[in-house]
Order: sequence, then C-alpha cells, then structure tokens
Amino acid sequence: MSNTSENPNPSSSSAKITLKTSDNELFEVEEAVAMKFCTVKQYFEDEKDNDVAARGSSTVIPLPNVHSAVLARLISYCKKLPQSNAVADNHEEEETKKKERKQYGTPGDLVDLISAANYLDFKEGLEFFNQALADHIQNKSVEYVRKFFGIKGDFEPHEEEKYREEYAWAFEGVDED
Amino acid sequence: MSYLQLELITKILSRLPVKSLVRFLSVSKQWYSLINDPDFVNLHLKHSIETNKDQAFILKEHDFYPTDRYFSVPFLDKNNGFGKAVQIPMPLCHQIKIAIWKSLIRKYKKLPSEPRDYSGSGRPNFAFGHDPHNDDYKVVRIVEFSKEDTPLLDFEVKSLFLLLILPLRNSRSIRRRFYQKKKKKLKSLVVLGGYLCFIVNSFLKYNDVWLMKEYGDSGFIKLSKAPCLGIFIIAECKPLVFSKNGEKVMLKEGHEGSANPVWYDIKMKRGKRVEIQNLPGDFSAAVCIGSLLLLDDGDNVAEEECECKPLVFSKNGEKVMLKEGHEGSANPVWYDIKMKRGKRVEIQNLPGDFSAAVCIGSLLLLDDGDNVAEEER
Repeated sequence: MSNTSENPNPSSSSAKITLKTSDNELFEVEEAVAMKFCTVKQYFEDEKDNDVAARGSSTVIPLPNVHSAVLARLISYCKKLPQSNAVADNHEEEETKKKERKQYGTPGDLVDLISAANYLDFKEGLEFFNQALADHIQNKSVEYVRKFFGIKGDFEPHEEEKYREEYAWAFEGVDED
Repeated sequence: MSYLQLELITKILSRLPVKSLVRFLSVSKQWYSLINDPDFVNLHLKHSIETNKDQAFILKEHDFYPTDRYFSVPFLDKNNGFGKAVQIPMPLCHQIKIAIWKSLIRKYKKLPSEPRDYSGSGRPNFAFGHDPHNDDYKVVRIVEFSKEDTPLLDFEVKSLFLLLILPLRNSRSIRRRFYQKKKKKLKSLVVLGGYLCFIVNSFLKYNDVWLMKEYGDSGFIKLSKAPCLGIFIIAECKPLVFSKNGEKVMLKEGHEGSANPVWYDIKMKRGKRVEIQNLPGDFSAAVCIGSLLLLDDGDNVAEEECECKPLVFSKNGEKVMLKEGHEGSANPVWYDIKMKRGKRVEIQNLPGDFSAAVCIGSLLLLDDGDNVAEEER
C-alpha cells in the first residue's frame, strides 16, 4: 500500500494518536507517523464511517503484538526515514547504508522489528529491516543460521558432507560465528 | 526474541546473493525446497534485477584458435569494479550438443538433444531468454546456410536460415526454415521491444527484420527493408550493463582485435576505462544476472577434464591413482575402488600440470654402456 494516499482530514495533520503496546505502555505519536502503519490506518478507516469523533488522541489503539521497546525503535526509524531505497553506487555509500541499517539494534532486535513491522503492515520498515538482517546473515555459516532461526538440520550427515564437497566454493569465505 | 515465520524468512532470503543461498540449501530439507521453489526463484531474480545485484559478464574471446575460450567476470560491489576474469571450463563435447553454463553455480545444464539437422559451414547463433506468456525460458538457435550447404533446395533459393527453439519447461520446441531468394547474411538474433527477432542483412543496403509476434510456427512476421543504420547500432554497439544506480552504462569500446569496457556516465557524458585482470584482447560480452534458475535439476554435464587417466594401481589393487584437475593444474588422487572415494596425494616438487606414465623398476638395460650424459646447466 502507498503512504501517499490522501489524508482524510488535512487540517489535523499535527494531531496525535495514542498507541498501546503489549506491556501496556502508551505512546503518543504524530498522525503522520502512525499512518505509516497500515494496520493503524485501517483501524481508522473502519471507524471513520461510524464515528468521526473517534479520530484523535481520545482513542487508544491497542497493539497487543508489539512490545514498547520495539515500538520505540520503529518510531525512531519513522522519524528519520532514510532514503534507503535508492541504490548505492559506490563502496563508501554502500558501507554507510550498511552502518545505518546496523544501528537499530542487535540481530535479535531485528527479528522483533521485522515481526512488528509485518504485524503493523509497515512496508518501508519491513524492507529496511529485512535488508539489515540479510546483510547480517549473508556471510554466516550454516550452523549459525540454524541456531539463529531455530532450525534443526535434518539431512543425513553423509548427505550434508557430499553437498559440502560438491559446492565447496559456496562454503569459502564464511565469517567466524 | 522469538523465531520468524517462514513467510518472513522467505522475504529475507530473497535478498541474499546466490553464493549464500547455495550454502543455505543445506540448512534443512524445508529450506532446500524453499530455495528451489519456482516462486522463490522468480522472487529472487526480480530482486536481483531491481537492485542490479550478483551480476557477471560472460566474455567470448575472438579469434582464438582452435576453440573459443569463454571467461566469466564477476561484478563486484565495490566501486562498480570487476573481479578477475576466470576462464570457463568447456563441457565434454561428445556428451552434448547444446548446454547452458550456469555461471553462479559453475555447472552445465544439458538440453534435450535435437537431431543435428545441418551439416553446413554456417555458424549457429544462439540466444537465451524468458518467455513471459508461457513463463518459460528458451534457448534459440539459428543457422545460416550458403547455397553449397543446401543441396536439397531448388535453385531459386540462395540462403536458408534454420531456427530452433528449445524450451526449458513447458512449451513445445519449434523448428522452422526461412528461405531467402537472394544471398543475404544473417546479422544477429536479438530481442527488440519484447519480441524475439533476427536480422538479415543484404549487402549493407537494408535489413530484413523477422519478428516472432506469437509463439509458434505461424507467429513470424517480416518487417521488410528496415533502415540499416538503426539496427546496426543496436547490434554492434550494445550497451552491456547499467551501474547500480542506473547513472552509468557500460559500453564496449574498440575496434577489431582489441576491445575495452568503458563506464559511460550518462549525466556527465564522460567515459572511463575499466581495468579487468586477465581480460582477453578482443571479446563479445553478455551479462549474466544472479538467478537460482535451474539450480540443480540433475541434468548437469561434466566439465571437460584434462585427462582422467588411471595411472597406477596400489599394491593390493584396491586403489587406483587418477590424475585430477583442469588445464594448468593437476593433482594425483588415490581413488578407493570399493569405497568410491578419492584422496589427494601430496608430492613435493610436482609440476603444475603434467601428463604421466608409469615406470616400473626393472634391471633391463641396467648398464650396457650406451648412456647419454645429462644436460648440465
């Protein structure tokens, strides 16, 4: 979904919206920020026809799947939305973008951010954090990836060994865990 | 932290380069089928194309006798730079007629064998592309004949072109003959405006352009006498690749016998030469995009090995020594016949590449006087 669709009420663009997280914290955020979360936007669109007065800080929107620590990070990301989707053209630029993607927390935090962005249907955020996690695992070993995603290897040891021999080049240059 | 759903994992994996994905095939059976799934392959390819990731050049060296040599040059992330050109090993010729080199996983795919229906001197032209209507990938071959090669035709016909389309997945293959009444020369097989088209040139005066409007024998239409100039520019001065942000385009600069890739900055209208190690003197180039297509569908063809000659049996006869390796490098290997397993042998002072024969300790000709002195340095 596009974020540039018309604002239903342009005069109230500085209005605040209150979001309530899974640990019962209240976040008062600007409407422009909250509307990036399609799940929140949808909530308003559903309510709009019935009760126009529901708009604004008087309503509290519950987000039972999002923890306050995660929401705080997502909001800080929204506030300085980088021009992340332009493709870097040189090494320095690419490195700067990688660093930028790293600053939102540990790889474990990224998993929470991805789940939350997915739940909130926040497309730009989801793409950004997906790329951050892809950067992180790109050069990791199979063992690391299994542990990280909670996957049990179910190939027979001899199958796995044969595979590693056949594609030995793909196992070169892997980072230390 | 909790674990991610498979749906989200899929999105993350689609952003990885082929090398990482080949490694992660061995994570679990679930990941193996996920990465091999056609929908995932398409998603990954789409992402690679959008972000210009994981690309390589395939270069064909001109005028290298007796066989053409092909090189692969990886496109590195750093500063729009290129890696070292690496020669691509050729497939075993007797096994196949047409094969696809899967650059990123370094294997050949065998294509269904079609009867060789020409014997002439014409050199076949090949193209590879995606057919969005059938969601299939196709290999197209077209061969040009001169009059002498085609005894079966009547005298009116001076040129014959034979077209063969080999689909990889689900549509049927096509063979078609095109006759021309005057002697004409085939220029190229290209995709223009989304249609497969081949260009036939008549003594630099005009071009006949054949377009395949619909897939099938009857889908061809001829656009006669297209102006020469435009088509020649497309065929001969082909842009190779765009830089990651699309602001530069790579062109091939140079004349017969020497060629060099150049980054051309579209905004600044300025070109800059690119240095590639090991680059052949003159080449044709094509761009290869990182895709998992045909990742491992079993139809692989062995590469041409220098020789895989058995050298000697071990004392108990249970192992045989083989020479392993490609051009320029060879290594002896003990191959255990029962266990079907090989083990490399370390020999000090071994030359890089060698042919070998076995010499058995014998007293024959031990010292009969006719010895030759060794060359002294």
